[in-house]
Amino acid sequence: MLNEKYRTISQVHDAFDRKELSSVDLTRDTLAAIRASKHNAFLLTMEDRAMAAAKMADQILLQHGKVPRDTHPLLGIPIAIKDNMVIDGVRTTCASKMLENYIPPYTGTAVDRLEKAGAVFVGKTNLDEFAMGGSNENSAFGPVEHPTFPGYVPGGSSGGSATAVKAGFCIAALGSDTGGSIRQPASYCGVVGFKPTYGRISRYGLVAFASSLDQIGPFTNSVEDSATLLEVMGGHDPLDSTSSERPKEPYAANVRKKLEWKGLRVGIPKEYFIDGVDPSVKKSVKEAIEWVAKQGATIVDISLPNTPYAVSVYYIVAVSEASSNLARFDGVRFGVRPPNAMEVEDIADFYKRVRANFGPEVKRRIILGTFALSSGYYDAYFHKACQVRRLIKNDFDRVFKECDVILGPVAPSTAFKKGEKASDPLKMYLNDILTIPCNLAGLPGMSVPCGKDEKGLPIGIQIIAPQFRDDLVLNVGHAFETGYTGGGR
Amino acid sequence: MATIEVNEALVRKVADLARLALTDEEVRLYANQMKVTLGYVDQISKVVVPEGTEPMVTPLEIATPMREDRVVPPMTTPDGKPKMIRPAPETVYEGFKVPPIL
Repeated sequence: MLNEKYRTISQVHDAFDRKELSSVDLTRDTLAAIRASKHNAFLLTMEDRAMAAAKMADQILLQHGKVPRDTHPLLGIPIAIKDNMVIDGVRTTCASKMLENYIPPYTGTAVDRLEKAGAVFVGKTNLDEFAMGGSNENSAFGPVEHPTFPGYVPGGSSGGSATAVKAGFCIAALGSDTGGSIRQPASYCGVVGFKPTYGRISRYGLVAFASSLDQIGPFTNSVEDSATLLEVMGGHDPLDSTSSERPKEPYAANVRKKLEWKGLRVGIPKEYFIDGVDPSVKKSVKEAIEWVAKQGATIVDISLPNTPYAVSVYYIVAVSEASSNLARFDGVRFGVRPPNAMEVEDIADFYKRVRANFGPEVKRRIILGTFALSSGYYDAYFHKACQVRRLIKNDFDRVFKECDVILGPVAPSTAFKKGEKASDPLKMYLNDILTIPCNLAGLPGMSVPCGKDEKGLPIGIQIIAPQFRDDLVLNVGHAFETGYTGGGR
Repeated sequence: MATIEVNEALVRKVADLARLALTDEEVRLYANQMKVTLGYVDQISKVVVPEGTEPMVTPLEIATPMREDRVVPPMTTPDGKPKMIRPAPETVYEGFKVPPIL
């Protein structure tokens, strides 16, 4: 675990400026902490590369006398990367046997931008195989432990990244969020998790799961740090045609501006406080909302009537896109090829032998997706799901005329025990009900810690804003995080 | 949608389309789980969609951004070899090696 004094970018940079800490020392301590940990949060540590980057950071510090924050906003900051994002020459497995030995020949854009800003990559974090899961129990390399509650799941699919930040194995980590895979583990582990607007950060170099839903985002110990990471990673990328050409904003400078709660219209969707949401989660989130109201914000009761269909739409759209995306794992250009794969009469048998490397959840989703796209069922499933997706998007468009931001719970419950939902896929899927709508509509959403349940397990509050109002999510998140003292956080 | 019978034969057929080899036990398991999941997602069949509702396939504002058609050099290793072939399980003459299919 890192020194408690150094949990945010500014804490580390101030310590660098005071010469109380060097990047080499911080990186060495970080790597030692990861090696000694029993959380299984990392699939790989990047010792040589990290130490080389740290030495370089110290040289830059020496040259400038203090951290050049304008050119190197992440100088010497230890960062972990979810193992579904590629770095040239660094093994990327997606927590799958299929990619056990995959050494990518290029670096993804988001990761590249972090490195150019001075970040020190300490390792690749564990996940549910191909980011499919909500508990991190679907990793081919073993589950991840909750950072503070042994025997509990950290959430998923970016459970390794959430655990790594909470347990102090890095200052920030990258995750990817297709149906809640950043916000839900952030809520379970008690850290900040931010899924920016779809298209705000390039997906080039993120191994595709569901291309119309996937979004890269940060895990951090403060909202301010999430703003810094978004500013570094965001913006158009010619290598991802779905990345937006809208200019990115100075998120880091804006986040520190004082939020005027008075005049802010905060929407509370009734569908986010239904019976299936644990009383402790409701209580904690409602207390937080009461505090927001006391600050002068106007609370608006809103309705997102198509929310109950979100899980159904998602588990048709996401699995359909996944079945198509994962067709590329054919054992020709990359991936593991079993020794007997070449001794086949039929090319279909070759593919089947190769694709035996997929784990159970991945196979389950490919089958469901192939079915939903297959002749005779396409209209009833995929086409209809895309129409209902439009209705869900319309719900948001309508309510954002009445309110500026939406507040609600992130997940219906706090972290659960390992194995509790593992044998019931539908039960696991239903857990995503409150995070999925954001992905379907392409909106920015964030989880910020707001309290704890009776066992002491963390609870997050979700902040949602209209498309490309990432600045507003950050602004509200920062004001809440720095102002709210309730909830026993 | 409610009329669809999810059985082991359907799972076998779909798995074959997806080029997945399943054991008998997997077929049984997936058939049962698919029945439960499709039983749940069947709720969308009851949603009344206003006529003319365009299916939403992406949250993007502009569907297909245009760009200049420009040739960029391929990624190569320091010794000039094509880099994209590096992760291939088996290669031959700087190409991907595949089983004979004819």
